[in-house]
Amino acid sequence: MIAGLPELTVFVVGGAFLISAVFFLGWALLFPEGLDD
Amino acid sequence: MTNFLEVGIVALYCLGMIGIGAWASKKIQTTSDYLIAGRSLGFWMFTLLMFGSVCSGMSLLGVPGLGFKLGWPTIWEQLFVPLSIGFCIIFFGVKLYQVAKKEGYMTVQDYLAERYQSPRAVPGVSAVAGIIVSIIYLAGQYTAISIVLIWLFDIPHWQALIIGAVVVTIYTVIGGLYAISVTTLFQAGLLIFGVLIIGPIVIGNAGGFTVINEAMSTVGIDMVQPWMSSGPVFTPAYLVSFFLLLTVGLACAPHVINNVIAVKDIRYFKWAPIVGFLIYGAVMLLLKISGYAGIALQQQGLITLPDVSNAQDYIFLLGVEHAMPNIYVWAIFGVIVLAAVMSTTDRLMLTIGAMFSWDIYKNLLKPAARDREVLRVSQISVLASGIITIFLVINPPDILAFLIWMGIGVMLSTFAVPLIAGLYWRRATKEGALASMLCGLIFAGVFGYYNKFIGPLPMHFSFYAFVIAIVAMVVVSLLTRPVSKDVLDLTLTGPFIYHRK
Repeated sequence: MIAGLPELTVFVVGGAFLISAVFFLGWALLFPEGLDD
Repeated sequence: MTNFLEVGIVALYCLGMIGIGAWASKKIQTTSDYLIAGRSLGFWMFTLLMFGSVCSGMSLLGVPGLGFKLGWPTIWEQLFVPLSIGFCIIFFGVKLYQVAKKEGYMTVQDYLAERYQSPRAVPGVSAVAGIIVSIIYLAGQYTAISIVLIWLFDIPHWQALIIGAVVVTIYTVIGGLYAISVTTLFQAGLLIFGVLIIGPIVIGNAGGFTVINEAMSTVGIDMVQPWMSSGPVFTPAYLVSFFLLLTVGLACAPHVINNVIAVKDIRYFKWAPIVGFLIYGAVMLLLKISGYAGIALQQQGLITLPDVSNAQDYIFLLGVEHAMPNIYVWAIFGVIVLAAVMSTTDRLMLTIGAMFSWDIYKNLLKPAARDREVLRVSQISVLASGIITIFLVINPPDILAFLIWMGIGVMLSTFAVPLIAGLYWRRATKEGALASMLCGLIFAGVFGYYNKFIGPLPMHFSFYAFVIAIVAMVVVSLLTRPVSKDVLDLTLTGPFIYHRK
């Protein structure tokens, strides 16, 4: 148990939020300049 | 609980919104100014407009309510809805913005008309379906405004409805997207800071995160699991359809997707997805955990649920009342809930105005109409959307609650396939788009009815209609003549998000 929650819940839910944030961060870092030209 | 200062706080908020509308009206010269703020939205205006558009009326009450009732398996709602902001910007926004700016589009229907070489049928069907779905969705938002004002002032439903409707209609009619984006900046700021302050107080008041989870595990084992082991909702299969419904369905809803056309600079699409995700994610997580806190508070005998059918929707209100027993705090909290509701309501009304004045009046009925005339029609149709919705909600027919509940599902099954296929599949044709829209609309009704009145389906009803819409798009497109290469190149159609230059 972690903070009263089963490990499965912590890792699955935490992992999903983390992956989403990393995806959007990756998008920002790879976003090209000059798309609008 | 009504007193002078409490009325004053809410009145000040309402007058402030109307004042912003009056200020914004001075900037309106053309239809483009009115419908897309002259493509002038800055980074924060745009990001918070996306936030305000997806943060629906019942977010503040319904999110904690669902968490209180079903526990951690419902947490996915807090991931999937924030994801819709980034999904919309990345998968729709980057392409739509570029084509819309070059070709002068006002709505997403302009894109569909060009892409499918269908100046009337595809945008016409899409706009009519969009107006119907948006009015239904709007009815849900007006109902939420009424609930808040009744809770605050103990006034009859019709009075609450008219007060809320008059305020939001005035500033939307006179100020268009300029007014909406500025009011949303204020409303979203109020909502974010309000929840960031109130949420942790409610959670702390219940004993903290660990105590809350321990209290939940005594209610039932599924309450602290990431999904339900059985039952009609929140099983792993249901969650797949729930992701499609919330992330994809909301992203292509007309009142959300049209925001990407109004941005000043495409470079805002670089950081807006993660900023929108983190801000909305944090707010929604706090709201959900505040709902969980209600379980601990109830077990400790500190709160008692009202004896009404939707008692769980009162859980956050009860948590706030217990943590901060001060009527001025409640009045400010009421304003925060109103801000959340109004930020979606105004955008929906303008979207209805845009789809009627631009897609139906200007593009279908009277192509020779002058800009000034289209602007007036936009304002009149926004006003009409407000009046029609009041009549729908003041004595709601039995079917209305069913339709409101179906709203996002219909958006997913009707709009997602023609939009995604139009942007990413070069073989998609006009006939395929029409077939997928009509199949999506009809089968959303069929499966929605079955799920509600005959027997629960293992996945959300919109999933089945969505799959049928895909099949209709693929089969009919492959049987009909493809769109010309020049048009596909102009509309940036193909399996890419952008080409590096």
